[in-house]
Amino acid sequence: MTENRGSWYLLTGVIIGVIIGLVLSVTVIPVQYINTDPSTLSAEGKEAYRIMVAQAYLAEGDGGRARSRLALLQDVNPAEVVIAQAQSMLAESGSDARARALALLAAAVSEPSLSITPLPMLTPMAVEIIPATPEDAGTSGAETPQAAANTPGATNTPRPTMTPQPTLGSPFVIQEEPTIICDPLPAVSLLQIIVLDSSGQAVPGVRIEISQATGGVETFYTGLYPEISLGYADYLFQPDAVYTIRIGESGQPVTGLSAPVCGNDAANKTTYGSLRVVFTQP
Amino acid sequence: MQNKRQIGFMIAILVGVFAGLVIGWLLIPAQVKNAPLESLRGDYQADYVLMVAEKFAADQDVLTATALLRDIKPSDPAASIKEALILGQQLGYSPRELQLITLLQTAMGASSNAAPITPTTEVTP
Repeated sequence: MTENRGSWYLLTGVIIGVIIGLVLSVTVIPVQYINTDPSTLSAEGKEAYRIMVAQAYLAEGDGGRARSRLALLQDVNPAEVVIAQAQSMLAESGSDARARALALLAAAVSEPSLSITPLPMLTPMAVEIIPATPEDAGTSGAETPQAAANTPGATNTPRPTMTPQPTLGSPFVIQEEPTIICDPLPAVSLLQIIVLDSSGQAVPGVRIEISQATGGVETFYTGLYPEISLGYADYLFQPDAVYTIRIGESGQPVTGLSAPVCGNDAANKTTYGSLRVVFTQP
Repeated sequence: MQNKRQIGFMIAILVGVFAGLVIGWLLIPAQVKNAPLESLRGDYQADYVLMVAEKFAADQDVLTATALLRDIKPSDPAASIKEALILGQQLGYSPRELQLITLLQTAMGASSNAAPITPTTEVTP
């Protein structure tokens, strides 16, 4: 008896091969992309990019350019993403300097009119420069990277005029007696801090150091809640704990801060309110 | 006859694998996502170098600058500066921006001549 199965086995082989090929192309040997734009970066890559934008903003004080750079990541809400990254960094005890830079960047995104004083340049800038030529750089013309072509590239944003920000100057001092907030009773007991400059403007990116008598120092920054105020920051009170805070690098410590007692609830348990403290520059 | 069929089947599978790879790589490639910093297009990399140069101008931290440049050019961070200078001129970077990049290049060159640069992560103050 002769079995006649035709050529279907070839089609079966091709189908099996195509499936194997597709799986390989997706998992084992996927396409290696080059010439991507920042919006395609991995989460870690985007975080590193935001930090770089923030640090460049801190150095240059160019809010317009920082916003343009941040927009390349195509985040739906750039300010929220930057704030979340800063808060996450502080929670994980990451770099204070980076968190501060992110806080200021978030403030710049939320408040385009904000301007900061750029960091002083440690590098002496010559009056005239001789930029490198392709020959100087040792790169042949054929190897010259491609210029921006179809998709929008990193463009040069016109630099806005920088106005000094009064973060540097007199140390911040407590403006008046802290305000106790019991009515309405807040859901959580917060130490609310508002930092203003001498002209009454909210100041973002101010470092706040808080410590307890029992030990332990934490740091956070104003500017992470721009929807409340650029100069606002808060800290969750622990009942019965007494805190000391210091605003800025040279501020005088304010001692004896604790969650205010607002009375008792229906179950006769003590309830705590929030405390609002306003700091200003004289 | 049986051998002929087996060989034909194997060839068919190989043809299918090739076709599958072509389809997967060229016709319906996966959406670009999770790209590393080093995959950024040249002009974005040049802007990244400029950001590093701006930061460097304020803190003079060569080690951190080198580590940051290694993110976009792991094998040769200094090459990213050269490419940024070339692209910067093509893209119309201001003289000041080119100067910042040049200063970073000079500092990295001086540093590498003085001592080997060890890759490092963030130097905390």
